[in-house]
Amino acid sequence: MQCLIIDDDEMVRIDLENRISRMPGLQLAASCATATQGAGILMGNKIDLIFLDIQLPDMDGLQLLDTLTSQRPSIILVTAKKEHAARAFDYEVTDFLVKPFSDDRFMKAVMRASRQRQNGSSNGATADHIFVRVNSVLEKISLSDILYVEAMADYVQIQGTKQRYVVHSTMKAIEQSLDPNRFFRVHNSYIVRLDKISRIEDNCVVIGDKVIPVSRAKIKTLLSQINMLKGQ
Amino acid sequence: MAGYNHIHLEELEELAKGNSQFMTRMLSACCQQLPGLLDQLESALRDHDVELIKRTSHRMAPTFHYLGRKDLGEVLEALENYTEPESVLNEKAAALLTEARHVLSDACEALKTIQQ
Repeated sequence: MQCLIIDDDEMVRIDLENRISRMPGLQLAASCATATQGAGILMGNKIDLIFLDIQLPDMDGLQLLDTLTSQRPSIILVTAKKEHAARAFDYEVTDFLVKPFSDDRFMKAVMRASRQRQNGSSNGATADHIFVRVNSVLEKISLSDILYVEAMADYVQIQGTKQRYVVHSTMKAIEQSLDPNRFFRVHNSYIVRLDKISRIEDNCVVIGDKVIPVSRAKIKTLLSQINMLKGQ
Repeated sequence: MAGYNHIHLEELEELAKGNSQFMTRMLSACCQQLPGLLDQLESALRDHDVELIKRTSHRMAPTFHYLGRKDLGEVLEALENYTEPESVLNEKAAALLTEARHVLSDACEALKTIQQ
């Protein structure tokens, strides 16, 4: 995906450029400080993904989105203020990164944009189901039925609310099929549905009776994904 | 890289993942943009220009996060949102300006060390 960065803070631009350079599948097309410069770049280049700051010196970043036509690139907003999130929804942006953000969070946003573009829609919702091959049959599984996914050598086990499915696949493939806002890979061997976590303790999450380990490196990102009481 | 009293470079080093050019670019950008922003904030505070105080505070906050000074980033967020009485904010802003100049000095020193 060809990327454009629009942010008036040079340090943030350098940070994003660095992250883009490390991410396979992303190429930096241009990086600029104002909405006006960004609009000019968009006219002369095919851009797939914009990392866009909201508070720009010449224009509100969201106003720039109003000027874009139907073939709109995917948009990841990058801002210091969570308060902008509500307005961002009106503009159907792909994701919303609050500075400072982790590598995991950055990757998640990019994967989301990538999936949306593969589905041919820069602003459509993620599918609410997946089809998996069980024996010789393609079974439709609703995402709202999945509790967690566990790696089992060459297979993955998808634990549903009523049933479990053993599928010949990889954790990576399953992870890419799931909505990153609802599912999170807490460990090399586990992906969990965030709203089904009933407890987090001693580097583990609990879903029903199942105690699932959380990698040390994932704890911080996991805590940023759940709805935690502020000030704790 | 260690030994600075007013900045903590662990955050930047984590982002750099061994890329010294990235460290150089980040510190260089900081040393270029921060003096102007500090002067701007100082003058906005003196003139009680609330809009400029808010805008400049917003603009400066990420710099301090990158330099491991979340505490100063939080003072800037308070200034940006005017979440406290003006007298309290003025006192915090004065302390912030003094400390921020030390941060700038350390950042420029770190840049020189990397470039040597």
